[in-house]
Amino acid sequence: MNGVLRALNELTLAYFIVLDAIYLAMAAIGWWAVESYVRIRSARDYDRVRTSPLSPALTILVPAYNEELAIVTSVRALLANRYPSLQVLVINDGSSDSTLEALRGAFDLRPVLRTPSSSLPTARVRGIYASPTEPRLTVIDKENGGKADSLNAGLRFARTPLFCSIDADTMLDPDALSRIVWEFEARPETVAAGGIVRVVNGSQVKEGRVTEVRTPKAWLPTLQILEYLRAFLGGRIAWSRLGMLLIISGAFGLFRRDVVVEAGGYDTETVGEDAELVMRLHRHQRDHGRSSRIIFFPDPICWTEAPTSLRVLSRQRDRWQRGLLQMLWKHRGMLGRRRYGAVGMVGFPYFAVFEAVGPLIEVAGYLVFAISLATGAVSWAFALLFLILALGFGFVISFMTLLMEERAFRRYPSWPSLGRLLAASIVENFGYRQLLSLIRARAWWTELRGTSGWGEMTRSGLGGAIPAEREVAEN
Amino acid sequence: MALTVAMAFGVLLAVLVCSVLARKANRDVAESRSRERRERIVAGLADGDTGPLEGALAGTRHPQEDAIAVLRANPGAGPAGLSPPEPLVRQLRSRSAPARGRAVVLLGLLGAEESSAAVAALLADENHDVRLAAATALEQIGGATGAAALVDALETELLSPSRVVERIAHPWAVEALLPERGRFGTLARTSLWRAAGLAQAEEAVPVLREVAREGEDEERISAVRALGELGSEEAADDLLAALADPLWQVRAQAATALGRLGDQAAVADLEHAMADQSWWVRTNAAIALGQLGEEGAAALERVAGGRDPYAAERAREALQGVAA
Repeated sequence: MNGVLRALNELTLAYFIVLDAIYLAMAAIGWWAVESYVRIRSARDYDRVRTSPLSPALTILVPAYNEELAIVTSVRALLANRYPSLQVLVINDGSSDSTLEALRGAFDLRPVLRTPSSSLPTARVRGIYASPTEPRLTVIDKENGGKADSLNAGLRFARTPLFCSIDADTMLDPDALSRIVWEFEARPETVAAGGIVRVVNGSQVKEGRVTEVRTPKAWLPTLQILEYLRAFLGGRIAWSRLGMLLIISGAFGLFRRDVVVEAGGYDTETVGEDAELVMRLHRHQRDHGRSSRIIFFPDPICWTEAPTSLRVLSRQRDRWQRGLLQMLWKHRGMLGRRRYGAVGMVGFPYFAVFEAVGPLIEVAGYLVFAISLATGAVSWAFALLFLILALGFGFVISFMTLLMEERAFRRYPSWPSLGRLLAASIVENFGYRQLLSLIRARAWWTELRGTSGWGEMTRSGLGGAIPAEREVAEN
Repeated sequence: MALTVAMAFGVLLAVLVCSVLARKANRDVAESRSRERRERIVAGLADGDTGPLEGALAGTRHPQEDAIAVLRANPGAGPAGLSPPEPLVRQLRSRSAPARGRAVVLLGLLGAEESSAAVAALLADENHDVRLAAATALEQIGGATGAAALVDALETELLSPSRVVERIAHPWAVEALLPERGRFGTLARTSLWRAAGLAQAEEAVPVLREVAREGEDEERISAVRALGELGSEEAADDLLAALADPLWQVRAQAATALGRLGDQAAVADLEHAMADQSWWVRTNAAIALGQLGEEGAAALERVAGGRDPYAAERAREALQGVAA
């Protein structure tokens, strides 16, 4: 019995050693990538993108389901973005509240006819509306079909070369669009780009804009601030540099419309349509023998409200994990295939082992470890080594991330905010990370049992607190 | 053994915490130093003293970044006739892309004409940020050499056409490039016509009229659009002719251009264009009629009550101000 326990412990230990080594390597690559961006940043003239009549036109797609409280503020904030050629396309996904009426009242909407620019299948479109007072706004009213279906409806009627997918309660920094468009202007082979998603809890928001950045008093959102920073600066930026970015957050991503439509738009069968689309773009482009650039770029910032209750958090993470499982299962044909390059040979296997199966191994590992300690099957020296590897490296990577943040972006300017983030990087190792592993392990069960859907969402309108289910930030 | 590992780990953590805090303190100091430096440069420029600016130009990364920030925030505040320090020109050949980038941005902001050729060489730089910065610098420096280099860069495909057009959309550039059009390829010419419209370069009108009638497909689209942007009344006949162009993109641009021109003589032709087989042409014709006063509105009313359901819908939307 003790022999088995010891062997299991050693296996878990080996898993953590490999995982930590990968995290460290990724954080190091991320460090280098952030550093090289910071050094070249002054050569970029983002004002040019913001003022040039030749900046590519883009449509912000805003799927809205029961958003009557937030939608008008959100749309006004989006229209106030500093970008020369901007369209906002709201898709009312069969809301049962008065989302459409709120928009109609605020913008004097009139019914219009529009010819679809593509033939993506969607739930029935009931009407299209335009505003005589705000020519950049179009509203599509359709029957309920979910977020992916709404985005597809938006893609059917958008006409600009670029489109931006965004959640109805995401807040963009005023310069976020011009910064992310720079990537498409400077490198025309870019087909998709994601910006950093930051947690807005605790910060001051006025009229849909973040005016002062602070960490919140509550611990749960503070832990998520750190988690997001680590996922983006310590993980995604490195995957992007290696050409293996598999996820662009649904909260804020910019895409080439023609390529996405050609690849078939968003998948309505998954709960993780944002990640699935990126995977499919990789696949589609490779299948057609094209090189394409799909990147994460840390400077264009969007803000989102993180869940403040464990219940909402656990539902959100369950959904993310199921989305990941569905995406990997759907594209399992890419696994280990040389034709899909680094994505198939390295990115996919990593996600399958460490992000999909990983939480199961972690939870099993913690259990075995607890039993072994209780029965005396492992020595204290081993226990210490285990704890350091299982928990300790989390500190190192979190600190590295905070250093990167301080070096490059400095969005949390006050000492107390930084202090809280430092404390969070210690606190999160005692309970929070294990809880997340447990939720993600449980997602296997909910997925295999066949429960689906997004779960209920309650919102209270921008400017106040918006409970949220948002974003994908694995790692 | 266990104790040693734990202690080593503890020390590592302490070092990391300290380094985050030290970094924060360090950045606070660096930021205030940078603020002071910028203020000194601004104050110097206001008093005609280029010393602080020259010091920053000859400096390392942070001073140079401060100089860039000041010169960008105060366009035209840079001292006229300041010859760029030799090290800055040499920096264009640095092995570090950020260093090349800073040098090229600064030379552009200083309008260093004598460095045109060296800056133009960076249009083919391996780093895309440096390439774009070089293109902007040539635009800021001005002059025929830079404009020609920008157009020639189209051939290399290292810069996309829109990025080049943005930077040659100035009367001086169009004027310098027009006589050279004979040696340009189609893409370069198309870009030049687009730039002429954006730059409101009146002297290009005769050439644009000729191209609108006889140019290649892409060129005609670009030239008709430019004539619309220039609002050139003498081109009205060419624009009316373009409404019958075999290419729908040309017809759509012609409809928009005639709307901008505001000449009511175009009402009949635009009303006819409302029956065009292209959706874009119909839409643009409806919007154009909406800009042509009472006669245009009357035409829209007629079309709205007409038999063609597609045209009628466009007309109704134009009358309500929601056509797009």
